[in-house]
Parts: sequence; structure tokens; C-alpha cells
Amino acid sequence: MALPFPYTYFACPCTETTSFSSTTDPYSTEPAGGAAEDEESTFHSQSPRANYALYPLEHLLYCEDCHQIRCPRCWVEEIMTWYCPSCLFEYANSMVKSDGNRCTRSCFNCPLCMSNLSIVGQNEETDKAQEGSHPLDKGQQATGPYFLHCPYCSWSSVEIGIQFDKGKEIYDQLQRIKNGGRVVMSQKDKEREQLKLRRQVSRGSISQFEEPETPKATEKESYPPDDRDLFANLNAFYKSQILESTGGSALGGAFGALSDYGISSPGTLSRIMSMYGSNLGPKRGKDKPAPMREAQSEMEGVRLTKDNDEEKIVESMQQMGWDATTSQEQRREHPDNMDATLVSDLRPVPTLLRTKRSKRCRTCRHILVRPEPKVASTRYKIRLLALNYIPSLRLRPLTAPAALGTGTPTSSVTASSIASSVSLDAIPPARSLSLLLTVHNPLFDPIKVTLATPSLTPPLRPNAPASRSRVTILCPQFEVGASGDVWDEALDVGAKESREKSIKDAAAALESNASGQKQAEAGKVWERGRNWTSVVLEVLPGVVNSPVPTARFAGEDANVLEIPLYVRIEYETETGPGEGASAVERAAGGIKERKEQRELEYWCVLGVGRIAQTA
Amino acid sequence: MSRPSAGNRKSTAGRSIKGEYIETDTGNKVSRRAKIEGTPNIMLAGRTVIMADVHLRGDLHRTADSATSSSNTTISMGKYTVIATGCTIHPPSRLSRGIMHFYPVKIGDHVYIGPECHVSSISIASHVHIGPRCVLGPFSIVKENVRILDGAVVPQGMVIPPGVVVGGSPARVVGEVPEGWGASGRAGETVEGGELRELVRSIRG
Ligand SMILES: [Zn+2]
Ligand SMILES: [Zn+2]
Ligand SMILES: [Zn+2]
Ligand SMILES: [Zn+2]
Repeated sequence: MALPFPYTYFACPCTETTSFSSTTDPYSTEPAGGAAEDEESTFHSQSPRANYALYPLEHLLYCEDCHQIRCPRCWVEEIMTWYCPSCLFEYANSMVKSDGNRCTRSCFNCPLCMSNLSIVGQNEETDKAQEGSHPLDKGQQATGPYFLHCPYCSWSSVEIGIQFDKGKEIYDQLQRIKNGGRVVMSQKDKEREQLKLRRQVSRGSISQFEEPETPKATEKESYPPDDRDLFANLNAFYKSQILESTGGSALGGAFGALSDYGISSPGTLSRIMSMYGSNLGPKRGKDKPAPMREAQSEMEGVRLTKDNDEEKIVESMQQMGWDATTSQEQRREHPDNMDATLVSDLRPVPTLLRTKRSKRCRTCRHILVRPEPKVASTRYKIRLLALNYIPSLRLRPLTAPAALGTGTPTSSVTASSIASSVSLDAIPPARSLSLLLTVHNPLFDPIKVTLATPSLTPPLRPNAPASRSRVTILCPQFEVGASGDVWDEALDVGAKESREKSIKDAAAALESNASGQKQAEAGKVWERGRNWTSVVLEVLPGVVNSPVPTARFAGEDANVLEIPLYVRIEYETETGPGEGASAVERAAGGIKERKEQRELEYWCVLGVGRIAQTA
Repeated sequence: MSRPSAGNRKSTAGRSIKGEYIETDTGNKVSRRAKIEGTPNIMLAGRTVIMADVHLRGDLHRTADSATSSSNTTISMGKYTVIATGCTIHPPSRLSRGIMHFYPVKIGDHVYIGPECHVSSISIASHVHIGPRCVLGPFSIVKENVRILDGAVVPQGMVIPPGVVVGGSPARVVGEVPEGWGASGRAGETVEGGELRELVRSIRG
């Protein structure tokens, strides 16, 4: 997601541990440049790797204990709350563990387009706008039967032959209905049934290798069990095997001990099964039971592929055509749909839960962000944003008085809509461009800022040194005043307006008259406010004449003039009360305010704009 | 309908057309070129901006038989909310026993709705940023601190949970807004999701 020009990205210092400096050139196709300056530590904004290090300032956090910027790579997240994004119901951790990470109420997504599905009552079917799940609907609830309807692509669960008796608890109802409308036993009922059957089998009342003559068996003949059934069968089979082997006589001896490492041994199996989270019977003693037999029938979870199975699929695909087959995205959405070849095999997708997470510093484990656990609340108990600790940078062209018109030129809301006399989407190449960089200090202490930039930006094309832009910071070292309280900030608005006016005038003078009064001078700050300072950057954009050579350069990054900027700030701050001094000492007046010297350094990337390509 | 460069006009329009905005006592700025129907049914909290070619369908209120509810408000908007050029706000409706029922639209504070959006949501909470050319389907609900990407189509009845980024057609959650959503604005600046005071102030006419 590219921001509108001009933008500023910050590189978290943790990226320094992964080296950018192994070669001066981010693209291996170009031999190392002969530039004289030391580029060992230059941040390569054009490097493909840089994408993973750069963030807009509001995405970064700050650790007060490490005194360091923190990014997603150097913080760890902890889940606080699970909730359904559709009905906003909060799920307890234990529920997520037992029932999975999807909404088990009535929230579903369309298996075709992934839009949210609405519950529609049959008797209201003529009203297309009807939508049963809406809170406003409680007064005039439709009556059943109900079905799921996609408001986006008009898919309906009627298409797969599924309707519901009740307008709520759709998840539970859907579990009991197969595509086509066949009602089956719920998973729990089925397990109970299977266990009962197996007990009978083991008691010998029914022969092991014969299908028991129950109504269920005849049902199975006409409908082959699905994966869920098979897994349940297999699970139940092994459970019963383990029960048998542990409950039975403790035979085994030396051979038993050996076979405990085999795949068919109960020990291995119970280990594997406990890995997948199912609770098994009582813990085995030290004695090694006899090895178990393997599953042999469908009832025990084995599916034998029939010769004509695949032929049938191919045949139905031929008959129904491309549109009736599922896409990879549709199959990937839910395990139930993974084997669905035809659209008619798809099932509604229960809505995936989302989480609220707290964030900790990876280094010192201190909490950086802690939201309030309730879904409805958007407040934070702890929130250490980097933008409250490190200076923000704002860039804007100085040669364009029109761009300064609306009073919020740096705002991202309006930036794209401002008519600027220098279009940042087509910067004329090889023509000097003045940029104003404003450094804002959020700290309550004045800071000393040192800026540095490579004199030439990284090349935009391999083997094209002309595509490098020359950058000069006219005043690389300056101070920025301390931030005040909210009142000062408010009062500063008026000052800002008058300042803007003066900039506009000055810039106009600069344009019309080369010897205007306000000239950008080397070593001098352009403007200064209470907690901000502006300096001028002179840029000579490079020339890009070759077309985009490879896919790697193409897309939104093509021809973008980005300036890597090194920022170093130094400041002196009071250490908090109680830090290093006891109350008695302070009461005695023996200890004056303790001052501590701090410094912070990091790389930024200033996205100036796009260089117009010369033919 | 052809509305050339509607999006680009929004900040320069104030300058080019003398007195484009009518400012009310409570500081609402309503473009003379906005099309507003059913004015008595529209509630603006103050400091709300309605730009040119915005179409507010305040005339679509609940039918007479359901007028038991005391107020007839069809569209309400919070403070510092900006509706950009060419948007339509159309209360959602539902047909019941042959009668069309309309439901009111409620929009919170510091909401920015980009140019040429069609909004039929039942509620949009505060600090929501909606990109240009989005469609918000009937009865959709947008919670606080949400960013809707350009051209997203939010299907009917979709609930967008707080703090997420949605995009695409149909819209899905594609990410989360950062912790610093709306917090990076300094004095005199406006950022997405932040307070829109400055943006509202900068619109003159
Ligand atoms: Zn980091
Ligand atoms: Zn749900
Ligand atoms: Zn659909
Ligand atoms: Zn730390």
C-alpha cells in the first residue's frame, strides 16, 4: 500500500543486525560503484529487502526500557481476546481450543465469493431486502424454514439443498445436514454410537469383519462417509484399541518393549494422538501392552478408492463445465471444502475469528501495547507509540507556492487532492528541486538533530549511474525545541498560519526573483518554531531514460525518487523520580535533578515523488 | 451522469467559486451545489462539511404507519465529519408486506467519506476513513477506527469490526489499522483516522 507523495518511512534499527552493506549495490547485476564516499553503512532504499524494514511512523512502537524503536520484527504478540468479526461475540480461550477458531453461532461466509451470508426466512423470500440476522428485525421475525443467502453474488444454501428449521444456531444445524439435505447424526452422537457398536464387536456378539446389520449400515451403502466421518471413525477405532490394550492383560515382555517403538504400538499412537489434542483414556502403567491391529473397514476409518471414483468426477466436470468447478481460493477457505471439485460440493464457511493482541518488547519483555480486552472498546491501557518518542519528519516541495495553499499540505487526507505546480508524480529530471524538511519534536526536552544522506541516491536502474539523484542537506545539524502541553500546541496553530503565509511569500519571491530576500543558505535553518525546525534539501533528480527493465523494477516503485536519510538525535533528560536516588536523599536536598544523556539513531526513507521518464 | 474531476475539486472549489459554502450557526459547511432532500430530517451535529454534488436522501423516512417513533430523523452526522464531492447517502430500505420501510443512517464524529461513494449503511462509528468510489451496502455497520480502501464494495448487512482495514469487492478484512491510527497528526495537520478539525477549518467559502 503506497502512500501518496511525499511520504516518510522509518527503518527500525533492528534491521541493522541483518546486513545491508555486504555490497554497495542492491542489485547484483551492477558492479560495485566507484563512488569515493563510504557507503558501507548506507541504507539501501531500493533493496528488495528494504520493504521489510520500512514502516510509516504510526506503525512503530517504542520501548521505554530499551530506549529503542520497536517494529513487528522486534515485538511479540499475545492473544488477549478471540471474537467473531461479524457478530462481535467474544470466545473464551477454552472454547477456541475445543471448538476451533471459527464462529459457532450463525455467522457464515459465502463459499463462492466470501461475502457475509444473511439468514433469510422462506416466507419472506420474495422480499430481496429481507435479512433476518439484523437487530432491527426482531419485531418482524420471518418464519421458517430458513436458508443462507449471499447478498453479493446471490448464492443461496437452497442451491446445495440445505434449509434450516430455526433461524438461529445455524452452525449446529448445519453440522447435521449434508449437502442435498440429508440429515445425519451430529459428531458426538455418532461417536457414542460407534463406541457402542465396537464394544459389541469386541464382545464377539458381531463378527469383526462383517458389517453389523443395522439401519446405519444400509445408509452408508448409499452415501459414502465423508472425511469428517472417516476421521471420527478412525479416531474412535484407535481409542477403543488403546482402551483394549491398556485395559486388557498386561502381556508383552521383551517383544512388547521392543515393539513400543513401532508405528503400530499403542504407546506411539497415544503419543501421536495426544499431539493432536484428543484426550485419551487413563495413563498407561509401565507395563508394555501388546501391539494393536490396524483399521480394516470403513467403519474403522479406512476408505478404499474405487476404480470408477475419478472417472465419475471427470464425467461430471465434463457435463457441468468450467463454471461448476471450484477455484483454488474457494477450496482453501475451509477444510470442509478442500476436496470439493464441484460448486455443489461446497459448504458455507463459518466466519473465522479475529483477535485482540497485546505486544511486548522481544528484548526486555516489557509491554508496549495493551488494549482493553473488550471488543467494543477501542481504548488502550498501555500504548507506547514511537511517534510520541521520536521526531517526525515532514517533507514538501519549496518551489510550489500553490501547494502550500490549504493549510494542511502534509496531510495525507488532502495531499492527493492538492493541485501542485510541481507534480510529484512527474518530477522533471535534472532540474534542481528544493524541498523543505520539517522536524517535529514530540519530547519534552530539546533535541539536537544530525541528518545525513548519501550524496547520490541508489540507482533506479542497473548500470545507469545517471538515474542516481544528487542530494544536499543545506543544514545537516540543528536543534529542535521541546514540546509543550496541549495548550501550547493549540496556540501554535495561529503561529503556524502566519508562518505558512511567510513561506508562501518567500517561496513566491524565490520563484519570481532569483535574488529574493529569503534564500536557502548552507548551514542555516530555514525556519524554526517552538518544537519544530525546517531545513532545506536541494535535490538534483537523476535522469531515467531506459524503460523499466525487469519485473523487479516495475509496478508502483518504478522511477520513485527516494532519499535514504540517516537521523541521529541527542538529548538530555531528567530521570524519573525514584530512579537511582532514594526518597531520603532527595528530601535532604543532597541530590539535584539527575540528568541523563540519551541518543537515538535510525534510517528513514523520504519518498519525494516519481521522476518523469525521458523518452 | 458525468462528474468530471469531482475528486480534485474539493479543496480548490472554495477558492474558485465565491461563497460556495453556506455556514450554519453551529459551523456546518454545506456546499450550495449539494443536493439535499428532506432537510428537516437531517441532523448535523456541527462543524460538518457537505461538499459539492453530495446527494442526501433525507426524504426517505419510515412510512407513516411506523411513525410511532418520536423522531423522523433519517440521516444524522457527528462533529467534524466530511462528506466529499459526489457522494450519495441513501437510507437503507426493506420491503415488508408490500410496504417499503426506510431505516435511518447514523454517522459518527471525525468520519471522512471520500469522493463518489454510495452509502446505505445503518451506522458508521467515529474515526472512520472511507476512500473514494466505495459502495457501502444496505444495513452495513462500520465500527470505530476503520479504514475502507478505495473502491471497496461492502456487501449488504456486513459488520466491519473495530480497528480493521477492509478492501476489495466484496469487501473483506485485509488488515488492521496500526496502534497509532489517527494519532500522528501534529497541530495544524490532518491524518487519516485522526481528528478532522483542521481539514474542516481549512474549507472556506
Ligand atoms: Zn524492529
Ligand atoms: Zn459470529
Ligand atoms: Zn457470494
Ligand atoms: Zn525493551
